[in-house]
Amino acid sequence: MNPTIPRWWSGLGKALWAAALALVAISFWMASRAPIEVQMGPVQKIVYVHVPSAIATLIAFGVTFAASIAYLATKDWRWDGLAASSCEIGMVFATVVMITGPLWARSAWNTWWTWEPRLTTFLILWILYAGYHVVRASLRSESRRTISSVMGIVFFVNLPLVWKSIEWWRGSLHPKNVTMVPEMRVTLLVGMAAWMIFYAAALLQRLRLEWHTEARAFSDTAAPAPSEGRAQP
Amino acid sequence: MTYAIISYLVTVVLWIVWGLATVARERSLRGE
Amino acid sequence: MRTILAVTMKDLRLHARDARFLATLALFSASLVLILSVAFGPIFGDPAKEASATLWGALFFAGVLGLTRALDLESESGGGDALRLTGADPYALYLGKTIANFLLVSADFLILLPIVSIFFDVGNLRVLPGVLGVAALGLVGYAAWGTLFAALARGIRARELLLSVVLFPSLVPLWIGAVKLTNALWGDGTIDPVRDWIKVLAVMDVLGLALAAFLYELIQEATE
Repeated sequence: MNPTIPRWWSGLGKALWAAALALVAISFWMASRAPIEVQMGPVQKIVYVHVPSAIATLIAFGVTFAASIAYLATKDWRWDGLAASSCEIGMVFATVVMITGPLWARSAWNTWWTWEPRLTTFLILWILYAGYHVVRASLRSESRRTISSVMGIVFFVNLPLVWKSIEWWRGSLHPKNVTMVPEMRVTLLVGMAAWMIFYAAALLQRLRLEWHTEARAFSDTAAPAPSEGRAQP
Repeated sequence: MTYAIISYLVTVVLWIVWGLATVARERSLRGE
Repeated sequence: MRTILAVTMKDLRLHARDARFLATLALFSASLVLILSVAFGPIFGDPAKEASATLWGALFFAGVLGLTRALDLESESGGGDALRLTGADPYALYLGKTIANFLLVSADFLILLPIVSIFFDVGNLRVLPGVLGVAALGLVGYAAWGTLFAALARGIRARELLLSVVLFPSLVPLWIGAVKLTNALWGDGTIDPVRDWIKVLAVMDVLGLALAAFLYELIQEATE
């Protein structure tokens, strides 16, 4: 079946982008107006982009996990497409976390890096899912979808254990929630909403690539291209 | 203070780069 | 279960035929130990800790070579297809390979243990059973996850690199536990303060074996 992008897709995509960009702009504006935290000063405002990005990362990889299972169950390429797309979006969010985190750490604890459980786990996540993309890109054939799905499942399943281990290793729990006055809380919530919608918009955008790739593969099989086998051992 | 600004800038830049790359990839996938 | 043993023996026999590789593997891990010993030395600040890190670090890296080698040998001789044609239960194949990989990396461990003990001047007969026990627990997990991931990376050119990239971060809990427990044994002589890490190791072992139960067959089908 020749995959074509449904017509309503572009409309939905544009609407999502409009909403996402508007909300992100609003959340930035609100962040600039938010009250300045007593101990940390203005730097604390990083939290309004750092925390939503971290949550978006986890959601993105969770979607990859679920979609991977769905692919293995149904062998429908669209699930694998969703898994890979969500994983890529997750990587960008994770990169934001990995950059804004140390910037905050530098101000809060006067050190660029700390083996704080969440940051460390995110580092591990980042490496793992970068590996996902590299492995996926190295495989051309149909096996790539199955292999990617396996990775999507295994990496995610291991996640809680990795997180807990880093927490135990670190010794004490990093103080989790700074006290927030209502204005801060609202700002954070708006930020969450903004980046969730941004995730959806970016995901939809990225999914288009999967459809185009599949369409190309489809037309290739109709008129076979010179065979691109897997790399030989 | 600057670190906060850098953070927001980095976020914006990263997503712009991703966006441009994705649009470029779609164009090259569609172009043939 | 005869299948499992048969597969294990087959893999071991393939390795044994290429004794030069085994020797090189041992030398490679020994040279890792050497590098790290020199980096930490000549006067060791915390011998128990440095020795544990060196030992397990060398094992992890050398182990990757052993893992990929096992699959290469199989591909070269066409054994992979032959195995599949027998219609044997894929999980049995997996277990057979895992046991073989476990034995291979355990052999490496037994070679490195005296070297590390001597270089760092750690360890004694009293804690030896404990060290061996921790190693067994840790290496079972290493073999379980390693065999699973090695199968994933099979058809890829830079497979040792990619295997390391996905295996090591996944094994972080096991890594921390193994080093902490070994460190405790060599340092304080008791694992009491870090006893919980044994649970972590055990969970990693079980998790790896369980995931393979679900997923190994799929990987095998995919990477004909």
